[in-house]
Amino acid sequence: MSLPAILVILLGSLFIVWIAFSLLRGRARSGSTRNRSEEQTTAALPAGPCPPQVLERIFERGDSDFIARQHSREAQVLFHHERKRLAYLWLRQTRHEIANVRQFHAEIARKSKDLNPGTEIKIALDCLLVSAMCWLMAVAIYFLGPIYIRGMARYASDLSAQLSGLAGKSAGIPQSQPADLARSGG
Amino acid sequence: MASQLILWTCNILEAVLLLRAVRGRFFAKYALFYAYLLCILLQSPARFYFMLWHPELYPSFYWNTQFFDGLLGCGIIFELYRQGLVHYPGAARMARNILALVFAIVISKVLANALSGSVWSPARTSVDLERYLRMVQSVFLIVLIALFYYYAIPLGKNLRGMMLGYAFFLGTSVVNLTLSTQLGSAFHVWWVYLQPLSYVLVLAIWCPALWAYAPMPSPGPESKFEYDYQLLSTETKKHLVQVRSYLSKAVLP
Repeated sequence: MSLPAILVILLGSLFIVWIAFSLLRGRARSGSTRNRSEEQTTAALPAGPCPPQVLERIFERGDSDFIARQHSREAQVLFHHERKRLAYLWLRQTRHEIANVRQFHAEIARKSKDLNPGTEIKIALDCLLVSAMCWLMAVAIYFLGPIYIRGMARYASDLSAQLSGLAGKSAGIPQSQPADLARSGG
Repeated sequence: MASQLILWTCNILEAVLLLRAVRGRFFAKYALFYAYLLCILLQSPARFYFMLWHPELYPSFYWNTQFFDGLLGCGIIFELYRQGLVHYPGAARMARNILALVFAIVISKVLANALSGSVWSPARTSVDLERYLRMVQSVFLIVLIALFYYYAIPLGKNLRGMMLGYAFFLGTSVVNLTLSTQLGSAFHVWWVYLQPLSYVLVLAIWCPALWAYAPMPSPGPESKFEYDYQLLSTETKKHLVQVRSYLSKAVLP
């Protein structure tokens, strides 16, 4: 067996232990929240998106141009630093909202008798892709700064509205009829 | 001397675990797990007998029993699947499908080896055979752990400890067996200590976790809403695709 194969096995073994430990740590941290009911999960869904006006201000060039005209290096550094922090905050919120939606879906799906494995894999992959994109954006913001990513303001605003719709629809997915009423034909 | 001390420590810890289960009347709750422990405990005197009175037969007896233990270890993974997903039919269905896929891939690999005209199994020695078995078990366990995590399934203290201990055992076994294959007799000096020592650590994880019976946490109160899974998954899928598309445009404008 070659050295890379040995490394793969070693890493794989470490991965098992790491997963198990992180699982334990996660359980300990979240405690009973892992076992919350659907109603509690629904309540934990994002309350609302970041207002589009705020997002546009974070990413647009107007403020940056204004600061540039002041000819103050210190102000420029401070401004870029502050905008970066805001952009990261928005990205973190986006990831958090995606995670909440995924968790909401998972908590319903895990009890569903007619679960479709293909659909579940597709949803998991989509969530993974979206998270990866958020990380990619974070890297882009780190190197380029939020205001240099053209088009981000418009799409960030659209995305925010989209997430709001997703959260709202997920919370509204229940067929709005209590189970006991449905069973009694009420 | 030190290796004997480690071996007897293992036996004592196994006996303690079994006694606690019998006294606490939860032996039957985790029957497959305790059957595994019992078999290992019963093998010890037999191995000791062969080591003292028939040392020429000891290596083959040791490796055969090791492989048998590996097969019994599959019972622990089945126990984790059975007990952990008992209240979650959706997640259990998902697990069955993925594990069946993994199993099909393993069988295909074995058949491909056979059809390519080389050998039925790539295992040349007992060490190889056990290593492949442990590796397949590791994949199964990774799948189960990932599903427990993804579906946020709460595990009781017993099952959590059982899983952590066995994950640790599989991890260390694969590493030890790989080093044994690669380094041969040079590693044997270390093997005598490392393998039993890692098993002592596994038992040290299992002992507090399985000291008393801890039932699985209930899946939470029954929802007063009827959820339509198909509708929910369609909506989630549709919106995730849209979110992804927006993000793609923002990243690559």
